[in-house]
Amino acid sequence: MKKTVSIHLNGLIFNIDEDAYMVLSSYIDELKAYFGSKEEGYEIINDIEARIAELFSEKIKPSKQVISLHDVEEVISILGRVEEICGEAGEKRESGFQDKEQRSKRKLYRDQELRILGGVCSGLSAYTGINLLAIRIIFMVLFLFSAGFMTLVYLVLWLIIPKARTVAERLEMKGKDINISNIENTIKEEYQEVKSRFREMKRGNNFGNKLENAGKGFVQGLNAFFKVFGKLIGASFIALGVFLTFILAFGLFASSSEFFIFEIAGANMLPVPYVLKLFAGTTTAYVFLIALAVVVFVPLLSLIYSGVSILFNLKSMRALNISLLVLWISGLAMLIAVSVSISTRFISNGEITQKSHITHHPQSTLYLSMNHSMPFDNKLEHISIDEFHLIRNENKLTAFGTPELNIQQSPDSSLYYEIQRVARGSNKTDASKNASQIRYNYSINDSAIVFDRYFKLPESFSIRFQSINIKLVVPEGKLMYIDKTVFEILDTDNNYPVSEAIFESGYYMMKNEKLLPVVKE
Amino acid sequence: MNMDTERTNSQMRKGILEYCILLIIEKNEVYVPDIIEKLKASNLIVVEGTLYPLVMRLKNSGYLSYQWKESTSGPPRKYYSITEAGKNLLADLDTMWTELSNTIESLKNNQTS
Repeated sequence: MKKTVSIHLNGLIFNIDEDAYMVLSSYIDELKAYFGSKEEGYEIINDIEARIAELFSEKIKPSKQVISLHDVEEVISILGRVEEICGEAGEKRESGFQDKEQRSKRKLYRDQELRILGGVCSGLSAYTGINLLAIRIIFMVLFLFSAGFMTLVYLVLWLIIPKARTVAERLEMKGKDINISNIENTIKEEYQEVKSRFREMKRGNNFGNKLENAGKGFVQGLNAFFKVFGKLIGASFIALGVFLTFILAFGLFASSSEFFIFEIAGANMLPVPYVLKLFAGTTTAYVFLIALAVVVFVPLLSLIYSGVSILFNLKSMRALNISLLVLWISGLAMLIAVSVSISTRFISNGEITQKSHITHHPQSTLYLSMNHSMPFDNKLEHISIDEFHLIRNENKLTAFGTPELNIQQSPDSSLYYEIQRVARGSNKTDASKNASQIRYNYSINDSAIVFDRYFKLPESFSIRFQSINIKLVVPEGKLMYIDKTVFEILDTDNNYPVSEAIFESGYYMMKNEKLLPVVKE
Repeated sequence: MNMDTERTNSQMRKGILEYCILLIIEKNEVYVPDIIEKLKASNLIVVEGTLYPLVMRLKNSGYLSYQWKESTSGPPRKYYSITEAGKNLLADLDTMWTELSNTIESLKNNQTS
């Protein structure tokens, strides 16, 4: 199935295939540009159109109603291309005329005649007017120094730039640079063309009037406006697409999956792939990232592509659009699947509680202090998120967290503590296993308890929201000496009457469920 | 053909083409596509497009005139015929051509002998 266009030539109506129409109309435009727009030129064009009509009607048979591309090419070979006509008339094409003819319709194609690989360079050369050899050298240099990136660019160009198949497309391919002054010229030219066509029409039938003329001019102006506006939109699509691609590519991927701290706006950051690995494990993290890349970059690439299409009048390629859409949807499906799979690893909560009684004399004092020594050297590479620290020492990564201490009042005279390890997992057992792997040390010596400042995750850990809750249950009135360092891990959300300002080393006791400072004389 | 012969060739053609067209049209009324048949043999021109501007120039200078004639296939066609002015021009060109070819011939003969 092919789309046809209906045209009339010298009073006869023809149905003509769309591709054939494109070639024919550019051929006629070419002739018009060559013969000029004076009286004589019109007459020549009319004669030639009449001849084309005659040749076409010879092609039409009851079994063949449509003029094909082949027919058009045959007719053109009988009448001759502009170059042949020039040659036979013993004239040289003036360079000015060449510009005029080629400025209006210029598209980026791959040049198959001068190609080495896909004809991308030769096409670009024809399009930009830059020497072909220079473009090839630039491409070669980029190939060598861009570590494969240029190969990708080349392949993408190969994919999105259509090849010049017909003679008309080859003509469209050669032209001048698109810049504002050329766009302006093109618009002026088209405006002139419409004006002269309109004048012709007015001469033919007498209902043309000034109002109509003005209307036409307005429509033409509007067209011109949208043309320039469209190019601007195209350019901004490209700029936005490229900008976002670079930002996201850096943010998501380029920063590698290694431990590497960088600073953005004063905040320490870790590369997304690395953080993802900590949550999901290496394989899943990569699958997730690939899916994410497809979901993020396919729309950006189509944005850039549509910008390029607008700017360079590329034909839109349906197959490419559909395959991009399919790719995007599968990426999205994969992303959802992986996200669900990752989230199931966090679905259950597991905890292991260890309860120990402390034998004590009611009159003795309980000493609470903290082993405050940092388990890591501040000079090492480290990053802290809230109370969670990641430290790297000679390629070994360690994670430290801060436990939380709760001091509560005992209902009787018993004194005990509970160490609760909490973690998440795909099920109860998994979660409990994860919880049991948290390492936390403290020491009890008579009535002195020394808490470690940090708990540690096992080697080759995954983040499962591990935490340690310490509950110290003290009978009412029990005297305690609390070192001020202990307040660093004390759960201040609990209803302690003491504000952080008066967290000083000193004596405290539980009274009416509250931790109160004791003034000792 | 090298560049020089090509350039000379196209300049020679340019002068001769109009003469050829007048010669053909002098015999009888012609339709532009018919002219090409006669010229193709000499390899002088091969595409019809070349003829339209030439015929148009001759017509606009008053050497040719045309009239519409019904055709068996499709719409009426423009048939060209030579005018009095055209005949005069042709006579001048004939003389010029004879002189030219005589000159060329004698030059060639002198050279060989």
